[in-house]
Amino acid sequence: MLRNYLKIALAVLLRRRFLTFVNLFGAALTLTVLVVAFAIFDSFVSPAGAQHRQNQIVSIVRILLTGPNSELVGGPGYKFYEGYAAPLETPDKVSFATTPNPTISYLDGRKVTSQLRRTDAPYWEILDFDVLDGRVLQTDDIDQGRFVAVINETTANTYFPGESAIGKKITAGGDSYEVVGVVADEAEISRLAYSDIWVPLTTSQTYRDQWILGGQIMLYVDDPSQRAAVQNEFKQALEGFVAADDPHRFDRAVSVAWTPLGMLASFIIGNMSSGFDDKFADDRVPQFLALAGAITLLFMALPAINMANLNIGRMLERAPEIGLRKATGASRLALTGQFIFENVVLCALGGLLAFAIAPLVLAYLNATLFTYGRLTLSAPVFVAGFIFILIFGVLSGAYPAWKMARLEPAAALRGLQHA
Amino acid sequence: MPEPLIALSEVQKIYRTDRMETVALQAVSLTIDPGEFVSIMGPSGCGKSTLLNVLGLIDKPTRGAVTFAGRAVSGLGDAQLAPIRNQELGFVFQSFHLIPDLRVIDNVELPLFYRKGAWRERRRLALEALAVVGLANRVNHFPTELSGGQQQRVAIARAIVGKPSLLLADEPTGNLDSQMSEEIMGLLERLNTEQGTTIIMVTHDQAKADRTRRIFRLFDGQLVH
Repeated sequence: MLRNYLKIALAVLLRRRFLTFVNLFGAALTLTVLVVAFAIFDSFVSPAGAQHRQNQIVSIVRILLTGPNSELVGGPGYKFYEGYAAPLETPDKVSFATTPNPTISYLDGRKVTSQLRRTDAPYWEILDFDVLDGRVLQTDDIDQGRFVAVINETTANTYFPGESAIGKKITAGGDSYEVVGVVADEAEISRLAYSDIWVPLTTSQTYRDQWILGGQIMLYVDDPSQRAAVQNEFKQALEGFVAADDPHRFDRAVSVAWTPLGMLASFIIGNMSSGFDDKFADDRVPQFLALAGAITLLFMALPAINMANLNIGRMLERAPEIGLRKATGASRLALTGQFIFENVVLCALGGLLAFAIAPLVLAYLNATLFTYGRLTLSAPVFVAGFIFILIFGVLSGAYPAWKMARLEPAAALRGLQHA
Repeated sequence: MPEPLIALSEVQKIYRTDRMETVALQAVSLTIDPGEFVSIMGPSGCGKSTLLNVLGLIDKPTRGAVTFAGRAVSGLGDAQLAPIRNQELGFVFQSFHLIPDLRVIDNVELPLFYRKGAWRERRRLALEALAVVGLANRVNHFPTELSGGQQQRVAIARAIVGKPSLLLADEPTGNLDSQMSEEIMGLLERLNTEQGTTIIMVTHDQAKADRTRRIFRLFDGQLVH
């Protein structure tokens, strides 16, 4: 039966080619946007590369300190890490690093801006960098405050084209570092791993002094199911926050050890709320997913309504066939199914176009919007794309299908006279 | 007395629009027994096709009762009527109503899509029906590649593929030349005599009506004798 429906669906598409083009264009455009949006979302929530063990990591990237006279918000500093993250018992590994900061150096008289990140040793154990040459930073490098650096492939090619970077000197932020390793580029969207140059945390003279310092803390567990326990332990640790002076007095600290999805949810929903505290909500994921789902549906609704309208317009053309099918025993349910199937076929063609267009859009975004972008049509993106196709097909096909299936057979056979 | 296959009692059919009402059938009562071959005659617009549609359960009467094989069907909904249409009724239309995008075999299989059965069984029944109408060598053609008579034979194959107890033919020879219409009449007669299929045929042609067992004459929506 599906083969028969498919034949009819394709024949109907070929009958009115301009109308089909309009429908296909709408479907392809809508699905391309959704596929691209999901690819960005997926690369944030489940990044590839060094952050591929994301499901074993929760991160602390923002804290709020409040006191009688002031409030301070930002990434955690080393003091906060020492007091409230390092002592946690549930995580198997804990790491502190700064977030990447732009640093300027000069190469053959040319100004080059690179991102510099200072890390501890566990950072390299938690994240799984692809080492192309040399080695990553080790405990000794950190403990002894060695001026050594790991650089990414692009930086190596920029500074040392055609030769090995290992053992060469690189200047960043006024200091000179010996390159000990080269790793693959990490996409900007991989927030925990991304940088151009990584150096020991201890090469900074002031890193120990700050409560808030644009840093990031990673709490890693071997068993992913332990992430919730880590989050709870961190929450309890903050409840015992002891007043800090920096230089104002702060007597309360608010923060959350986030999963990537939790972070995204809190940033988006929290930023729509008022007050700092809202940005640190514990679990905004269900709310975020509901909002994302609603926006996705709304985004699909307009082209779906347009497509439904065009399909209803074709009802007269197909009335005799509908009448015939009903006269031969098709129930409303069977006909509704058939017309929805036909519409899903149309949307699937639009989806195939979207799958062809989306890589071009992603390549453009990789080249322009995200440094070292590696947005791709991964398996989850494909699966999501097919789900979007199905939802869009049903959404745009259900009402016309229901309306067509309700036609009285005799009237439909007459071409809807006396309908 | 055998139980009638189909019976109408005081059936009225009114088409309503915003501006006017058209009475298509008025107080029509009739019975048709299993195995009969009857015709419905009358001038254009007298309600012949409407009567056939009511008898074929694809149009609902405004008033009155329809009984099919002893079961009151005039109050049934779409979900109950669909299987009766599928298993008990077959339609042949003046304009054939073949689906141009499907091959002959797929057109003939159409009623079987709406009942349970394996693909092979559907195909076997469709080939059997095409053999009955003499088109076993045209299974992979598209309707537009056939003559009018052949298209009507495909339509008859589609109507009989599900082995219905009642075949309803709305001017089945109306669009055909005399030779082809004779072929179609012969085919209907064979179906009636050899397979015992009950046939109700709408026709303008007195000669063809005379070849059926009974003639119902309609005038202004009423049966006249």
